[in-house]
Amino acid sequence: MEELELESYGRIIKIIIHDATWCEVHLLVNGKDITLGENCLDKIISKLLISFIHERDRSYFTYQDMELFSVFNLMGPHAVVAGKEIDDYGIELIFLSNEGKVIPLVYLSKEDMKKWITKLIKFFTSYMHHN
Amino acid sequence: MGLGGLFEGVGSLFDLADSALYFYEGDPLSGTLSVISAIPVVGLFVGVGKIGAKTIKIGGYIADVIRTSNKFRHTVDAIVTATSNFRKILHSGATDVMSALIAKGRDAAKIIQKGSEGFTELTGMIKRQGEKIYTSVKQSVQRLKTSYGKSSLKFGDNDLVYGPSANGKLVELQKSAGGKLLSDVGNPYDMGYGSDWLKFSVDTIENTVKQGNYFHFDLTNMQDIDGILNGTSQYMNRTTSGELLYIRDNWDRLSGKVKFFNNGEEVSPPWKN
Repeated sequence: MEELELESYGRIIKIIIHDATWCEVHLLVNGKDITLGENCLDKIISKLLISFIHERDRSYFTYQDMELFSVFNLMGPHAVVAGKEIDDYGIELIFLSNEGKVIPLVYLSKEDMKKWITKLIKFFTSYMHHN
Repeated sequence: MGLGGLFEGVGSLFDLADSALYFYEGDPLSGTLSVISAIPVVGLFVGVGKIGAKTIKIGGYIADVIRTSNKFRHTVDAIVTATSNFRKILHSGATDVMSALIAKGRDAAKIIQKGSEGFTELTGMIKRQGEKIYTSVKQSVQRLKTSYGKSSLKFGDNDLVYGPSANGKLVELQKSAGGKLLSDVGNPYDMGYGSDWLKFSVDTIENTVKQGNYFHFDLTNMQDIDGILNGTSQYMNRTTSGELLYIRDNWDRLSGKVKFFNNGEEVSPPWKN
C-alpha cells in the first residue's frame, strides 16, 4: 500500500493505493480524514493531469448555478470531483456527492497546480516503472 | 760436439768449445763439466757423464712428452667429462623441462578440470534458474488460464459492466472481459442529471440496450441480494441496489440484453432462484 498526498492551503487530497489498479481518495482537513470514494489509480491520476494540463479538453457543466468541469468520477459512494475556475487565480476542486452535497476541497493557484502536476507526473512515472 | 771430445788429442779442443757454448747458453753445470773433460782420462769419464746427462735430458724430454701427452689425455678426458656433463645437463635440463611441462600440464589439467567443474556449476545454475523461470511462467500461465477461465466471457467494447466496485474487483472483470463502467461513460452532473446517479445509470442502461449492446451485471460481491429484492436491506439506498431493482422491474423488456454473472460464471437472474 502506498500513499500520495497533494497539499494546498493546509488541505490535503490523499490517494491511498491498494494495488496496481485500485485506490481510495481521501480529504484531510482540520485533522479529519474524510473518505471521498475510490476508483482506478490510472483513471484518477490521468484525469487529474488531463484536467490540469489540457484546459481545452475540460467538460464543463452547470450545477447549482456554478460553472464546473469534471475532474474524475469516484465509485463506491458514486461522487464526482469537479473543478471551478477562479479568475486570475487558479481553480477550486469541489466534491459533488450522490446525495447532492457540495463540499469545497482545495484551492489551487497556478503555482499549486504546477506543483501538483510535477508531483503527479513524478509519482505516476515511478509507479508505472515499478509496477 | 760432446762426441768430438771423446777423441784423443783434438777431443780437448771440442770440449773447450763445448764448454764455451754452455756458458754462453747459461748452463754453467754443463760448461764446468766440459772444461773438466778437456783434462785427459778425467775428461773421458766426464764426457761419458755428459752423454749420460744428455740421455737424462732426452729422458726428461720424453717425460715432458709423456706429461704433455698425459695432459692432452686429461684434456681429452676433461672434454669427454665435460661432454658427458653437458649431456647430463642437457638430459637433466630436458628432464627438468619435461618435468616442468608435465607439472604445467597437470596444472592445466587442474584448471581445465576446475573450468569444467565451473562450467558444470554454471550450467547447473542456469538450469536451476531456467527451471525457476519455467515454473514461474508455468504458474503465471496457469493463473492466466484460471483467470481467463473465470471470465472467458468476452464483452463487446460498448457493453456495460455493472456491479459493486469491491476494491477493484469489478474493474478487473471489465479489464479482462472488456466493456465499459458507468464511470467511463461520464457523470450525472455534466449530463444534466444533477446528483441523480440512479437516473443517470438507468438511462445509460436503456441507451446501451437500444444501441444493440449488452448489459453485464456482476453479482459476485453483491451483499444481501435477497434483502435488496424484498426491500429490507440496509443497502437499499445504494445506486447498485437501485439498478438491480430496475432490471428486475423491467425484465420482460430487458431479458434478452442483460446477463448476470457470479464468480465468472453466467447465472440466472437472482429473483428466479
